[in-house]
Amino acid sequence: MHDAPLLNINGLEAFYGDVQVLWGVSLEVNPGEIVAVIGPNGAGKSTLLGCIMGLVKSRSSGSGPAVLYQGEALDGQKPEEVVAGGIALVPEGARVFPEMTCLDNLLLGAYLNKDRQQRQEVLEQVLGMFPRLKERVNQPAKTMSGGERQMLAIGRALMSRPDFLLLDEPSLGLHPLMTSTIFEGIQSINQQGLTVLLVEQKVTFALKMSDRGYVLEQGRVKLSASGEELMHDSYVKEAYLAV
Amino acid sequence: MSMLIIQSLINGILMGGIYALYSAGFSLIFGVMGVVNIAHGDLLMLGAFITFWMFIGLGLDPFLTLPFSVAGLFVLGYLMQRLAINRVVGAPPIMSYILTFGMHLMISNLALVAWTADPRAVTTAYSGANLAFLGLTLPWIKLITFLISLGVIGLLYWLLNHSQTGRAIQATAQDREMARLTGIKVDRIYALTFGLGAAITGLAGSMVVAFQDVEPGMGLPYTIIAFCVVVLGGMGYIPGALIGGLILGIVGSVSTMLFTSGWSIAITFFLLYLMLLFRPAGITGKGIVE
Amino acid sequence: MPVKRTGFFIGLLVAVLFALLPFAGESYYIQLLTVIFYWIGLAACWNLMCGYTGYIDFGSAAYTGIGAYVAGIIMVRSGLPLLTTIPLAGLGAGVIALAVGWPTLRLRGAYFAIATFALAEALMQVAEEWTGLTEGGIGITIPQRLEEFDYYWLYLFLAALVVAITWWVEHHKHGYALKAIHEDEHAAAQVGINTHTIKLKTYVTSAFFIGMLGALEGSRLGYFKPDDVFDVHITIKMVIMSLLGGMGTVLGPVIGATFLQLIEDYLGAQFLNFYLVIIGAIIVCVIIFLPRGIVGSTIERLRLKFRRQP
Repeated sequence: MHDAPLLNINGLEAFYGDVQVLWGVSLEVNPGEIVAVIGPNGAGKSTLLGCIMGLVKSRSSGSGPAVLYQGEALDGQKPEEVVAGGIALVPEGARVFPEMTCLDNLLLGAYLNKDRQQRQEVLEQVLGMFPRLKERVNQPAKTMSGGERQMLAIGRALMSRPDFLLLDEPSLGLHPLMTSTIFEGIQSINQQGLTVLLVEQKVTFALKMSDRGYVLEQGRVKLSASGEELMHDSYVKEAYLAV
Repeated sequence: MSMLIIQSLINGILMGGIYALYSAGFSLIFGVMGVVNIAHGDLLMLGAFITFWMFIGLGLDPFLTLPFSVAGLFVLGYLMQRLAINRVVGAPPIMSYILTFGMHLMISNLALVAWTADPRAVTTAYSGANLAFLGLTLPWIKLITFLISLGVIGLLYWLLNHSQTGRAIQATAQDREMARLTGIKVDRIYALTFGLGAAITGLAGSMVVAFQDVEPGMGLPYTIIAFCVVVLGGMGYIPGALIGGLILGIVGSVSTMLFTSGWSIAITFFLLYLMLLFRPAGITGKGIVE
Repeated sequence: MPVKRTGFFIGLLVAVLFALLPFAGESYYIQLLTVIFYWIGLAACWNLMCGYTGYIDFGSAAYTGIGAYVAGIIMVRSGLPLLTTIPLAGLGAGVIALAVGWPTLRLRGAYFAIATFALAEALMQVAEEWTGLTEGGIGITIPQRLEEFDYYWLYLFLAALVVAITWWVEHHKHGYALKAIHEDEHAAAQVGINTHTIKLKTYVTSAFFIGMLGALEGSRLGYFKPDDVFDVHITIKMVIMSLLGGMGTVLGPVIGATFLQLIEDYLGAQFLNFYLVIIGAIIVCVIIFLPRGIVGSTIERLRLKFRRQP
């Protein structure tokens, strides 16, 4: 399982204008893992994903590139190039294309794949994984419920057949039942070989299914350990699992 | 008298097809990029001149010039967007008004300098051929241009809704950043969209030679008509351009028959104003409202 | 703030120097400057409203037209002297601006632009058709005219006044409110700014001065028809001059109007037909390379230069 890491982040620093939001963040994701990044609002979790996807300008506090994917630097790449390289992002709030139908959203996920047949096959797979979407196929996405939109966003990301999936708070604003469905979906995708990096606020769920986790606070990595260890860590329990 | 009105109505509808066609291009450009193209009518003028020069210079039947007009304006539009308009896509709208206005000045006055202000007519052997129907006169050429307009609008609508490129265009219009996250090269989509809008406008221009003489200053009034059409039909809504175009064609034709042109223009503009005030999303209610 | 006050006094000094010029100057330059001051005045009016709020008005020519016709009709019908009709023209323009602005300022962006344009065009057609009032397409001859130097001084005075008002607005609460509306109107309203009133006040003030300038110009022309004074190209020149110079700055319209009018004067003489092509090219280049206008870009560059911090 531990060949070279799929994703390597070294001393990542990121800015919004003049304001620094990430300070020397380092982490890695190995092939086939589910890695969680947890932390409070404003910690910089979304920014982290943004840096990987090329949406946010990043640089390294050390020498060399800040973000390495499969050994190659992602620094300075445009989002459309990163996506073409096999990484897909499910952004915060799903961000489905509101005026397009559920089906069109999914088809668009496979934009980079010119092979019609393959597209159809992946479509069948995705609809099989999320039967709810099948029912809503011709509905405009804006009329779908929050949970359905989240499923749609994940399905859309899967349509590009990525090797690496990033999820930004997939459980945000969702009913607990819906949340389990989503997480079960993520686990099953992972079992089929997809590496996952998950940014979450629902700490219990995230840590339960993750192989490893990082705690990000105020733009810095505070803790890093296996999912199990983090769940029983006293700091994490007090700060995030307060009963 | 009623025959006159019906004839006027028919003329209006036939002209309305053209209005709808190039206004659809205008609407598409605004809907996807938020750019109000004040040089839009000049693209139409260029299409008309392509047809004229090929007709006079090469002896080509005007209908055979259509593909050249489409191709030529597509390339021009693509380049205009890529080289200049792309810079103002994210910027405040006024930048695009002024930029496209500057382009309007350049294009229309270059045409004026190159080709002089003399109106040019395109008349073929069959120009006067009419279809007589129930006492009405339907010029064949205008009938054919109308059918072509409808066909192309339908094609555009189909393209936007049933092809990956069309979906990409829609996605870019709805959420630009997310579109990039699905691998769409947004800059290329913008250029493609503008090229498409320019191409169908060039087509409309080539067909306009059946309705009027060609001269370099003919563009601006058509741009203004495009504004009216998309306000009526809804900004950024393609089927709305069809509705708006037909209505405007009819209104224009009938009102010039009934009133002096000054009052009918005043009334049209005032109605346009009221429309913006009370129903900015257009008759269909599907327009983009800020 | 010492720097700003100095700026104001320098401006005042410059204006006074220009006022003294006719006693020394050559007639051609006085003529040219008269036209330049006219356009500085108009551009500054446009900038006062639109440069700061970001609302794009394409119907300003309505007020040059209203001004010209109100003054003209009053003079023809009642024989009142020219100088009395000027403020009346401004008043007329202001009142109509109040009526127009009230509903129209609810619109935003492209819709506001198209709406103002549509109204101005409609108004022009009405002026054309309502021959009983305006003589329509026949045109109206203005019975009174001032001396050349009088126009020079009046335009200089009005232009300086509008620029001074802009300066005052920029440095006081009113200006902050306008800029806040530009940034985020919704938020501005929530903070307690009465956006509708402020917009309306600015719009009406702008129209008032545009009306007076239009009235003066009408008398200077001596004879005009509706499409001379309601011409959309007047509005377009105002917009471009503000943009070229820098929207939302005090000196922007001054620089922009001077620059464009000088170019027009030079090119118009040299290149006749071609000159509009060149103007178009200049506009395109400025938008692409100097999007904040001449003044705006300079301010931006200076700001960056003096901000070198580790």
